[in-house]
Amino acid sequence: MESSVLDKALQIAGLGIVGVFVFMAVFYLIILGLDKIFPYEKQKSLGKSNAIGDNADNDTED
Amino acid sequence: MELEFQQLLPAIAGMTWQDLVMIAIGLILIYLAIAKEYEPTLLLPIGFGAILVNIPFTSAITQIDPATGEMVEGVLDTFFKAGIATEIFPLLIFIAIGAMIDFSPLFRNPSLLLFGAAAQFGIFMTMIFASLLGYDLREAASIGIIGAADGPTSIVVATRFAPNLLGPISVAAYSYMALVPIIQPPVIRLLTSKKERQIRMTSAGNYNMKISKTSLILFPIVVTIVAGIIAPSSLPLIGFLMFGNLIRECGVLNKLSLAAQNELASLVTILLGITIASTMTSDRFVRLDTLLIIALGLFAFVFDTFGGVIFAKFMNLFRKDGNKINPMIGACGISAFPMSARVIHQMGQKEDPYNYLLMPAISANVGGQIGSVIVGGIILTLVPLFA
Repeated sequence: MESSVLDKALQIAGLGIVGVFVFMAVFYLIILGLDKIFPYEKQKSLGKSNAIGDNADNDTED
Repeated sequence: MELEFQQLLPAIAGMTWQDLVMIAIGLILIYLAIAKEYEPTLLLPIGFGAILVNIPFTSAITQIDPATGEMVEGVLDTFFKAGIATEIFPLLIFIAIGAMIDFSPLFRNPSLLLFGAAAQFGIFMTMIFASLLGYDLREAASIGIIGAADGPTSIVVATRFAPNLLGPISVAAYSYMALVPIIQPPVIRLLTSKKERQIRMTSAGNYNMKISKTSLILFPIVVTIVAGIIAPSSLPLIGFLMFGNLIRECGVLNKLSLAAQNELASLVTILLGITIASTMTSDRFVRLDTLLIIALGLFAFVFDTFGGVIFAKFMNLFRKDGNKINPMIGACGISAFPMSARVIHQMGQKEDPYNYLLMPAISANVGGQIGSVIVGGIILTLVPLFA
């Protein structure tokens, strides 16, 4: 019984680690794509500064 | 009529040593919240709630009325059913967190997003270890998710898979998040040389780069659609997080964005903390299991740090001199934002006062915020398939 739980846990761990890397790689590509399609320079005509500053000091409670 | 002591003060007469232990734990959590400022927004309500629910015959939780023999529902149980069992409270917190997150550091150095994946390693290691200790798959996954360093994700997963363990899992998750400055540095020092810790990341990313508003608006929408297509079960978590971020970035809902960051976050946090405490009754909490779960939580945080640092060292094998990653940055891939980034920056400055690691550390830390939610969604998807 316990070994079967362990087997399943190992399988989930393997799939999970691969899965999270796949997700992050996709998000990486999304960022590259968005950056390429909508570079900052093309947005200047929108008026006030479009640059969003870092909010490193915001604790996010999580 | 002569009244017996037991009738006059039933709480004292009914007090057990386990109740006293729980009241002491509540006082310790309140002390840590106030004196040490360890996650006070959560630990204080949880600590107070632990006192509230462990006074015998408390009507804050559901009790049988000794006079009538009828079940009387306590207000904290009502909150639990309405807010935690339905996952409403943690999901509302995700909206607030989303409204607080600024994804622009990721746009400036997107490759550091990968550390948000590597530093989730502890979750899976802990799940495996917990299954070895005899927990079933759902419980093991719920214990492992403590390593997400993300309270709401831990609560959602534990509520769904192991509601009986919700109390200790929540306390462990929030306590260890507060202890990141104590947990991470020794693990990092053990895994890295002084020379590695002195690596400067001057060439990493363009931190003066301005990000277009369109990109920042589209990012939460595209991520939600992609995540939903790949793993629909992850949508409540990632969707609410990204919804909060869209409110922030759209530029036309500033009032709502501020309300989400302040009023919503504060109100739900108060209710979330005190409601979680309703599960911390002595009969459920004063058990060997609790100590084991708290120990496993520490294990998860240690292996998260291990995963991030080792992955950075692995990436350095393929990078040229002058373009290496400081392996300490890998440890920022956990979700404890911005605490982990600050810790790593300070460690870097200790090794070399002219080494400025804050910006790459923040990029990796924001990646960790996304990574923890994604792992939560992956676990919610995979565990039912295997359990």
